[in-house]
Amino acid sequence: MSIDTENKEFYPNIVGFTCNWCSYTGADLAGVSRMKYKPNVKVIRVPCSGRVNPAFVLRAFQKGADGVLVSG
Amino acid sequence: MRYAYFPGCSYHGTGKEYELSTHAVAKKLGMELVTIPDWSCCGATASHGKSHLLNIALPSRNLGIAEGMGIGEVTTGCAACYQQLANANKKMIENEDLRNKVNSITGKPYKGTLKVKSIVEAIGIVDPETIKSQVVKPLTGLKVACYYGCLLVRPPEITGFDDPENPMFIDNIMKLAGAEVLDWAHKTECCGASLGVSNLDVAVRMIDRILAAAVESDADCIAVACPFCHLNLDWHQKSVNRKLGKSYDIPVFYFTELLGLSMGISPDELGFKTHFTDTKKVLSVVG
Amino acid sequence: MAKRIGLFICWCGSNIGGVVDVPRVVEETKNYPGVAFATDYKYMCSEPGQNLIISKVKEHNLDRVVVASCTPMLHEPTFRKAIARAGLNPYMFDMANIREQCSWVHSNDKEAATQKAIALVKRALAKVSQVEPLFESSIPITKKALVVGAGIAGIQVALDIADSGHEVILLERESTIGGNMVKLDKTFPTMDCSACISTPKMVQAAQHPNITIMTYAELVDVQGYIGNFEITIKQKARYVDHTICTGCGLCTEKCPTKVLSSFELGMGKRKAIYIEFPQAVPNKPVIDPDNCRYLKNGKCGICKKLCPVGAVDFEQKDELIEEKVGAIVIATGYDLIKWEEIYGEYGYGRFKDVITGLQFERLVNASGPTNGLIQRPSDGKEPKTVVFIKCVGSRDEAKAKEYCSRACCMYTAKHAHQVIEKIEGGHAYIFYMDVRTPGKAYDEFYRRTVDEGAQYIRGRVSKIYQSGDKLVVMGADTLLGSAVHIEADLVVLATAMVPTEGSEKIAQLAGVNIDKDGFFIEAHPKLRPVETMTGGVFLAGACQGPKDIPDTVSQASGAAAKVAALLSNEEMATDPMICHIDEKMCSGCLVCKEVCPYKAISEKTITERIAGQPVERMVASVNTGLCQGCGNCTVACRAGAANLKGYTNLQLLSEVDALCR
Repeated sequence: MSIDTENKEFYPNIVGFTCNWCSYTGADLAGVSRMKYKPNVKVIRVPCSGRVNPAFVLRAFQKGADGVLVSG
Repeated sequence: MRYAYFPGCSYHGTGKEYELSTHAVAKKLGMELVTIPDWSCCGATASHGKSHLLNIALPSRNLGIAEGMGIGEVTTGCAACYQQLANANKKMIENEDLRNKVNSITGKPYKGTLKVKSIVEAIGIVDPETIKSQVVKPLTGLKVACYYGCLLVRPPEITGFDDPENPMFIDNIMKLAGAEVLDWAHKTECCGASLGVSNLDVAVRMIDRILAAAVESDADCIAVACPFCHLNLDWHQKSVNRKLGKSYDIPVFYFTELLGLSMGISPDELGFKTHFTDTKKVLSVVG
Repeated sequence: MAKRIGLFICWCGSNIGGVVDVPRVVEETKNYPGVAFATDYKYMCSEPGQNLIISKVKEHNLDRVVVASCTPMLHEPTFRKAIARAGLNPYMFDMANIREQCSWVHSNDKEAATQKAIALVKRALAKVSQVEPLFESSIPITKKALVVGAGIAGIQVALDIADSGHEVILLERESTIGGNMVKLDKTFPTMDCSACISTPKMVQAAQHPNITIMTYAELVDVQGYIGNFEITIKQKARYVDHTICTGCGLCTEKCPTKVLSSFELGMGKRKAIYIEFPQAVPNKPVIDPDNCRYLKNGKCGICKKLCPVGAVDFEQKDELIEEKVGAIVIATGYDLIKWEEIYGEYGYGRFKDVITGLQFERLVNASGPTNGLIQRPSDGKEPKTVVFIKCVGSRDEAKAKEYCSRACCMYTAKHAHQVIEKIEGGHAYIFYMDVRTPGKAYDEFYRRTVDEGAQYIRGRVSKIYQSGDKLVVMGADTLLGSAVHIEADLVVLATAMVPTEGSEKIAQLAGVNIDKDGFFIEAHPKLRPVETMTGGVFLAGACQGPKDIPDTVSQASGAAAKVAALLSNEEMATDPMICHIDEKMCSGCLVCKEVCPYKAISEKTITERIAGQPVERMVASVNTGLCQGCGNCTVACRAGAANLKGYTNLQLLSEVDALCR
């Protein structure tokens, strides 16, 4: 886990699954609008949030992700 | 219903009849108004010209004391006091940094748990049947132009209880009192406010427009809910007549006075004697 | 054989390069397993950029490519074509979005943005390591288009598609085609008579052999996809058989019920059996069931008794009609904002003589309720002083819409001109925020109106109130710094254009997005203005955003050209990123069939040999024409038999691994 008790600032690594048709485009729109957000969420494009198998979420946690965002 | 009650400065002076009539009506309606102990100036219109922080701090001190009374809601009659308290309340609830800063200044920490209501709203939300049951001398035949002025209903994000362009709360209360309310154009036009004191030449023109609209709509009297509106429309009627060559003679009442009258409370008890315009006309219509 | 990945990282000028340290991203990712070549370039999408990719694929014998640049929404097709030109399968490719989802949103922290870009590139490398060649198949195209809405936009689209030789269904929910344009009197800046230029187009559409007009009908269902839509249209009961009716007009003349006409915007009346206006197409009546005495309580029926051909049919019912089309054009137009619900300072609609610009058009129109005499609604008197207020609902963040409605400055200038021209001693005052006249001969027109004596006052109106038979307009002249009081006889509001009622439902049916104000969203605001993100669905006119007539007609012709290009193909390629069932693993439980939103999965029987004996069993089967590649089935499948090409379980898991490392 990346929770470091020495380090005061918790900086979670977040894996995002975003639907190609809505929230992936939404994330693009945030960019086009030059909005700002923290860089610790990284997105995997899926064709539909229904494509996100719970196994993917478990795999992310197993591999050390601190959070998973499924959006669609 | 219990309210922490903020009297405000004009209650002891120009707005004394508002104070008297508010308490008399509240008693009839079973509303308990508990005066906030050691209350201080609301900041009125002067403080925000001086300092934003001062403008929030002055009313917040009173909110802090009121919160300690264990009554969830605060009410006041004066439109300016209401505006100041409601504005500070909103800002203190929304902005934690400001809240901490102001609390360190006032020494009367306010957590942000209160609701602030104008006395217009507080009476307006009483069950209509309760009000009607107290009306023993309905103001039948009395044509009332209800005047709201500026601070009572605007800006809507702070006040929010009535339509800012065509408010109806006072109209609805007057209807329950048996009066005939008028659809007139100048419900929310500016009365000139403190210009009535500092620049009367400007103020009389503004007052003139409101009085003219009320007269044109065939009103017997005007009902207000703000001591400054009352001061300008009532006391300065003479100034308008003198400076602009007009001959207005239209009585101006606090809505609580008219409501009190319909409840059978004596005119003296309601403070009718302190008016500058002649109130007898209205008394003769109502009988 | 070892994988040979080519990695190409784009600067996008300073868009990416100004925030992300691109050379460092190359440095940190070039040793990723399988990367045979890595480089960066200023503009990867440009011709030299694409040529760079092609030459390096050949030079280094690359078998797959990652481009790190903008969103794949923009240039995935570009780069796929490029690697196809280099001889690779176009699906041996993935993109890392380091612009929209990195440099643009993290420009305040360059180090963090660079770190994230490295992670995103590694994700793409992980995925591309797992991709396999995919092959497109083709499906036939239905060579017919549906145009929803028959205002000037829809009519123009229909005519242009029909002229290119394809069939068109022109659908309109009102009883006549024509939309808002036919309500107008004159059109700026040339002052052409609106009816004179639009009604001939209506007739042209009606007579065109390739156009089928369906009025008084609504779209209720859309299934399918580009090239192969299956639509359902509800033909509302007209209670008049249009195959028999001759349009003689006897019924409308004798009908005893008069109601306010919506075509006249409440300024005039019509009968319960009615034709909207004399030049309506079709020029045959319908019965308004809410107001018809017979349909409401069974009494009257005069129209039925009088009709010489027996066309009135009170038993008529709504009817559902199914059609197949290859393309859909949405041209549903605009309504005016309901200002009466918003603007208390203008009286909430209580004053009869405060009207909208469109109502003014009816007043000044020779075929309108006053035969073109400007008479105010309250007492029919000719107004002498007319006040116009612009931006009512537009450019008003506090109360209504943020946007500019674009046509109002010009039509208000036109109205002011008409007041001065038509009313003897008439005065026109215009309260404005800015005067915006971009357009051919527009500013000249506005200038002329000013020269004619229209008084433009820069400021807002704070209140309108009735005083006797005058409307007192209180406003500010911000240039003079003074308050203005005008005693007006008539006030005309230039109200904001908003999407027409019901357009949200059309958006849902067609699967098209709408913006926060309800306007349809085009695929790209500059480069794909008439397309939508849904293949085969196009936009024309004010449904996409406020527009005047010239812009609407141009956009309509643009949309028609796109449709004609699509329909000129016999067949089209399908997306190969669809579901695949591994029959060996499939147990035939068909849970996948339950979750498929496109009804693309059915059961099929296969024969297997078990211990030398043929055994029949059930498995799931995917219709490649219907599958849209959502992948819901892959999650539902317990055996893991369903997989999605282009988004396989293995690909997605390796992406997860790459991001967590």
